[in-house]
Amino acid sequence: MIVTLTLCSIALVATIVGEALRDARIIGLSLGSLSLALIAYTILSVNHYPVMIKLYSVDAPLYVDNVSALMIINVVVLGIMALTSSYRYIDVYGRRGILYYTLLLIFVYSMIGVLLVDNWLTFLLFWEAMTISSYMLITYDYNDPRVRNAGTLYVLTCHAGALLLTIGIALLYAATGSLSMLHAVQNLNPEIELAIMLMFFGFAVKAGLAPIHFWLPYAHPAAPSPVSALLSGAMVELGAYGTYRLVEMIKVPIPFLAYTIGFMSFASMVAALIAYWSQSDLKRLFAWSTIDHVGWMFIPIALACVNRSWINGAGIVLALYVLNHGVAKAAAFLTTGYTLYSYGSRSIDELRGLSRWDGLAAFLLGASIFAIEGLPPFNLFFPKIFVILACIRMGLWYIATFLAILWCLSFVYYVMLFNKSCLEPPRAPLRMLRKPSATIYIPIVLLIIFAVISNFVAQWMISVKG
Amino acid sequence: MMILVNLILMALGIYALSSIVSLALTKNYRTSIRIGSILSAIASSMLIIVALTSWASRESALIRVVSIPLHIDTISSIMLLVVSIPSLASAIFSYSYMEIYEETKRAGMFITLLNMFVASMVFVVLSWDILTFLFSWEVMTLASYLLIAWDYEKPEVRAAGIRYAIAMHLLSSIPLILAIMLTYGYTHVLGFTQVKSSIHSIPTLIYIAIVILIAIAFATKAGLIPLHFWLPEAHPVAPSNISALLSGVMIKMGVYGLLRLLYYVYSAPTWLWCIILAQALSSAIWGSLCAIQERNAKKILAYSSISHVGYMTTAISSGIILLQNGNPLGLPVLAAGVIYVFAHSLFKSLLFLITGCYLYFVNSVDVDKIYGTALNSKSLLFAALIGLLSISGLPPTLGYLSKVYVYGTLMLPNNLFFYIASALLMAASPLSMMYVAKVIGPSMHLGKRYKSSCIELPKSMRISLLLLSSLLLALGFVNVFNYVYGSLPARAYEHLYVSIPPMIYAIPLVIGGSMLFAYLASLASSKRDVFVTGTPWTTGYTVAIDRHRVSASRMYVDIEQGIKPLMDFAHEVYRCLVLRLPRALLTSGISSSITSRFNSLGSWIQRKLLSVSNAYESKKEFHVDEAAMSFIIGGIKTFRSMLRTLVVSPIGLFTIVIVLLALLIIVMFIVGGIAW
Repeated sequence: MIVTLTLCSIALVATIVGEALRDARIIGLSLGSLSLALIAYTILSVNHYPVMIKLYSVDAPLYVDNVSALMIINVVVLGIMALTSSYRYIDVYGRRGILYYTLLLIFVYSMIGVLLVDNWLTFLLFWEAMTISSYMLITYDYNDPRVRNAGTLYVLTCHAGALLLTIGIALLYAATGSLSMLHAVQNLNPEIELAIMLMFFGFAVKAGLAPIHFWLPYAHPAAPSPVSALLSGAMVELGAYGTYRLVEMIKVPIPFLAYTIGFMSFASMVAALIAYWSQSDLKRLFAWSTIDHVGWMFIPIALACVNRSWINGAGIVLALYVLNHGVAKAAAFLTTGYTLYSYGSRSIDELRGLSRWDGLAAFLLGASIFAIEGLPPFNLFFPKIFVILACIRMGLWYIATFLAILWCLSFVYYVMLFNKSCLEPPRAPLRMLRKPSATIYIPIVLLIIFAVISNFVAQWMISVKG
Repeated sequence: MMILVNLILMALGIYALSSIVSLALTKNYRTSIRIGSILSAIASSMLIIVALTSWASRESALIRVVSIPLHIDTISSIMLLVVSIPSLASAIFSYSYMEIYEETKRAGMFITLLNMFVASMVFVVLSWDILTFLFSWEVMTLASYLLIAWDYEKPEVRAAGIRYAIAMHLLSSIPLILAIMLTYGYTHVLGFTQVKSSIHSIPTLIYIAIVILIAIAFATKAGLIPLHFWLPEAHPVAPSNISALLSGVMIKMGVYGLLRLLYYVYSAPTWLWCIILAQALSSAIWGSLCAIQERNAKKILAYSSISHVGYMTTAISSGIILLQNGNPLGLPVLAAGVIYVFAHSLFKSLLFLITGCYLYFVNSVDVDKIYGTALNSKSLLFAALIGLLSISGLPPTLGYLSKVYVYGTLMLPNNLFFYIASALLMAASPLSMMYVAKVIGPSMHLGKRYKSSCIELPKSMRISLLLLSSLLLALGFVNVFNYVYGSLPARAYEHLYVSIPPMIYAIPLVIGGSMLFAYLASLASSKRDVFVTGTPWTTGYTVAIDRHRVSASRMYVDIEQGIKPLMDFAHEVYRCLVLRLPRALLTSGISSSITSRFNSLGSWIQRKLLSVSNAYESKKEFHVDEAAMSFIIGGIKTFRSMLRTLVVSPIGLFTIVIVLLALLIIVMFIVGGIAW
């Protein structure tokens, strides 16, 4: 752990120095990937979850259980892929003054920090670091006024959310006298209820649950594609993670939270399903798909709010969902990075008939479209089925049926999108700006391969260590 | 059993290896296809070994392949044979055949999808819990969609592909997922055995909903009427080696699903099986009638698949109805159905591979443009002959045996209803001979001959054709029924061992053998077309001799005109029910619109009936007695001209079939009296 921490800081410093001297790309990529791999190794070398890792003099132990372990694996995989992909991708924007690699590393480390800590104060610290670094990464292309506006919208909304979260945590501390996430709350009183609602809305803003999802379809497409992959594949899921930790603390049923979550989840799914049909921009479409999937991720939490004995099951379904979705969504966003890098376009109409120009890009796009839809052999199928079966297990037939029908309807859209973007003849010739680079397409290929085995790997990990 | 697990794992590993190697070599199209297809063929032959071993051991076993529970019993191992033999042939065929798609440059992708498709079907037949089943089912759907849309530069291929994907999704995946949800909600288990044992805890209404949903899901995949609409669009547009797998194997997964889930796991009520039986019988006839009218050889074969799925489902559902009524004679019917599944997988993939050869030679599957193609290659000629004999149920092939088993076992229970079913199937049989004569006949035609760039098929395509056709021929001499029936897990019915004596096919075998011999002898004796004896009288105009021949697409014009009113009627009903009625309900007053629609339908029916009688009046020359006479005269003239008639003329065809069927029924009654 100490070695890992040291390496993380060395990587950060080295990227700053490298940026100041000449170019931080090589250093950022190599040291960053090495440190992330070390973090993953540290997490995986634990024999049995849950485990407390005590840093020698800090009074904040790190806590890892099944849920956070799987989500850390997700962040690490996506982080390494984003670092690799950025190596050539930032050529799209020319040279800029912002410390891209440093910020990217801070962003990834703070996400891992959020997942590792066991008390709300340090959680808040990492949470804010994550928000600020992601804001700066979103506005990387700040010459474009649309990007600036999207960044402003993002940072204002998320800070409003963080404000709610801070007040909520303060209230919770006042009511229970503890900041630990593992502290059990045995009874509800109005203060705690208020704290729960405030914290939940703080998380929901970050997760992009409707109706407070409005910033998401602007912010995610505005960022450079590797950053979008991290935002959609790892960051918004931390909202669900925070909600899960909050629900885990409360040991009594919280029906009002369950209804709120349920309502907002369905609003997200329905909003996304309607929005799909009017999209013309691939990145924006994938951002909407994230809103859809966040709705799915919150369903097991809502179930666990009512059925308290299922909280661990809900955590595992959530973590499986996050891992499988993160891999697929990152592949999708990195594919838009590929098309932006090579053809300077991310419009569905301009990319129509992509297979005529670039078979590899068409394959990657087709595979990621099927992957984010959870169509076998892609493993997102399994967590979706688990969510549906969990609803049935609780006797919530109408929810399960609704979920199945929404899934099927969005499938119809995605198969038509595949037909349009990969099979139909092109309208206008596509001009290649840059030759496709191996550092851009190899991460996507790896992610797609991982999307075919991710659920089996994760379930094997849980069965061995959980 | 450990050996089987290892063999299955090795086969899957070789599929993966084949995909990886061909993806890596994808820049070099031919090398990639060749290495990929060889490895894929090796994996498929290993699966054949697995299937044969487990079938020979005659025991069912639960095995685990990387923590996935799989199950092998007799039905599974026969289905594994159904998957692996055509996929072996198809992989060998791809070795050279895929050269005609060289400009697509997607060699690695093709091999990967082919392997994914085959492996998913292997998992479908072996899986033993609903989740694995659903997962492999969906992989199969995705892979087949991508393979159907392989030649996506053509708009009709794209349209067929997307229609297939959406139809499969709405009519097969959604019902299946809903059924699984309902099952899980009431039983909280997902394994087949557990679901089977806790099926009684489901409330009756929910249970009915589940079985109906499952029946819809599998009937769609199998292509049973009225859920067959996607099939004639999707199967012809795929590359021929894929069509062979789609028609030869994939639709059987629907039949397997009916057998495994609906019968074994859910033991669906008898009335549902009666509905399925009605669907199957109508598919058997309707598919044949549609097939006769087409002129695209692959489309004819696709319609023929609908018809033949009707055959096998008739046998299987009749068997199940009998068993559920406590009649042990259902088991032989079931066995006959399973044999039919196997036989059809062989001959339908053979016929689709033959159309692939047409494409290879003349780049067309129009029946008017394939004249003489089969004469380019001796093995194609042989395969075409065996395919023709098999699909039309003539000895000495497995196709004949399987049909006879179905007809014969359906007569066993001595029940009028099943006699009628058997008779309906027999009536559809000459139809299948007619349409396949349209597919195969012209290619053996000596007269008009389209020039093709190559004079012989590549070796791999010949091997693959010979593999399937020699298997069909060889199994035609084996009494398959006794082996399959003996291996069925039916301890309760052991006292009643139905054995089919070799006599049942001795007489037709002699006839068939002599026909075959005569045909081959006549081919060997002369290369000249003896029919062109002189120039026809053209009143002085110069007209090419070819213009005086019956062209293949117009072979059955009389019959087409006869059944056209029926087709129009069906389309009109469909249009009224599916398109006009909902629209009318939505737009105008309900009662008035319904009555006006039905009024228009009624007057339309009246008009069409009149036109049918007019059509009959105007075609005096087409009567059975004259046809019989023409056959006898023709037969007296030369034996060879009878065979020629068999291939090109509907009249001769009809008479031969009628005589053969009469012979068959007589034999069956005689033998049946002795044995049963």
